[in-house]
Amino acid sequence: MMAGDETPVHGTPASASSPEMAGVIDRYFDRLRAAMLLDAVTEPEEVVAELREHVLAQMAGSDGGVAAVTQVLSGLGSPEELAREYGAAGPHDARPTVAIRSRGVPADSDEDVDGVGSRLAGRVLGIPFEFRPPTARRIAHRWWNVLDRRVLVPRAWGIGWDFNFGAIAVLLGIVRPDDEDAPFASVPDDALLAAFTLPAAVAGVLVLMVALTYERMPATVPMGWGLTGQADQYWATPVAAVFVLAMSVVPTGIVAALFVRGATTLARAVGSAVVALLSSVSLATWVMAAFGGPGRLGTWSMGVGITAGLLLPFLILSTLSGIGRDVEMRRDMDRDR
Amino acid sequence: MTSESNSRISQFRKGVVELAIFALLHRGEAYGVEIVDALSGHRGLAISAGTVYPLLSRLKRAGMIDSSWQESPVGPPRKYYRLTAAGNKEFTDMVLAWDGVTGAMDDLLADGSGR
Repeated sequence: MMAGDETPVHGTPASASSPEMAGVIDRYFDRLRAAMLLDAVTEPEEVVAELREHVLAQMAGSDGGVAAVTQVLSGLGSPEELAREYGAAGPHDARPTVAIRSRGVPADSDEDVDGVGSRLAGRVLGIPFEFRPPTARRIAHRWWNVLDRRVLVPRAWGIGWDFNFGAIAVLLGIVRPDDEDAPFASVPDDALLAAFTLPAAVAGVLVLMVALTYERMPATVPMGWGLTGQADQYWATPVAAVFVLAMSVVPTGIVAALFVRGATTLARAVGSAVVALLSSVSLATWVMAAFGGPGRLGTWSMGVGITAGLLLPFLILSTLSGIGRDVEMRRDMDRDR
Repeated sequence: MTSESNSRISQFRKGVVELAIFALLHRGEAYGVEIVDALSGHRGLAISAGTVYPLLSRLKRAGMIDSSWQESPVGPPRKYYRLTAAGNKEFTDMVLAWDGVTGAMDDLLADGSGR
């Protein structure tokens, strides 16, 4: 024992001295085993053996009553929390050894955003997946997170990665990470509405395009193309029309409803960006189906659609963020005058 | 040094960055780039903008610091940060905790390990 070590001296770990006490300990470790199974803890029996020895050693100097064992077990925390700790502290995890963290400061982890503890979000073979119902906060956190330097982030919904337009804007010097107090919080209503009219207009063009071309379309239309631009999937025309319209008109309607209901500025800003992406790609898909292919328009319309699908959300979000920053700037400087 | 060791040291440093920001703002208000520059000047902390801005945002949400845009004598307006009353109180508590931690660690490290 080292000098200055105030740890009490324990004898040889005692066995559980009463059936009641043994029962309490067993129930605790049964719960821990189950929780560790869910949290994919490696070598759970080794963990249980080590902790059981700890508990029995702590009990050695006590009266062996249920109150004493309960106190010792409460020192370990709940089995579920303990399993989470072991699960997070995998073999290559390096958790903070010393953290002088102030009280009341929320941790970076956010259940809605990060999906901690959810079976519907995570990674398989390093590829992220996210199948929880999308929320405006989560989409905003992935698409416009100026505090995160990663350009590619786990998708807000689906498998793979999304672009973090906020990181791109910071890299390009368009915004600074701390320009806005909270994303889009100070953007005026008329600016948000103006931003929504752009993707809504794209959706309108799509509806018009489908209406004008539908009668002239063949029974099936190409809806999938290879890298060379050669069509490799054909859908029945009515199904294709319903699909592209649904991909554009439904989200447009949902975001329009957000405006009518006076939803948060964040929801309206992000909603406009989502509609911009979906409507651009849907329009490009229909143009390809109607006019694309060899000897006709070729594949350029899909290229334009994908580019617009990325550029429009970026322009909408970065412009709205700049407007929000200017509003906050004027507010603060007018107050100081 | 292994990547695991690097990661552990990196996490260790992140644990004290919060206190470093409190200490800097306790001296007086400062804007984002100024904070990043002042802290990144301390090479032992190895702090970058990617560490500082998220932390400033979190401290602001927690009411520990406040910010406001101010005219700059050179260039565009800047967002200045300062400790709130709650932040000042928190800083005092954290310094006490830090003294306890460093005292304990000095004792442990002086026992023939690492130094």
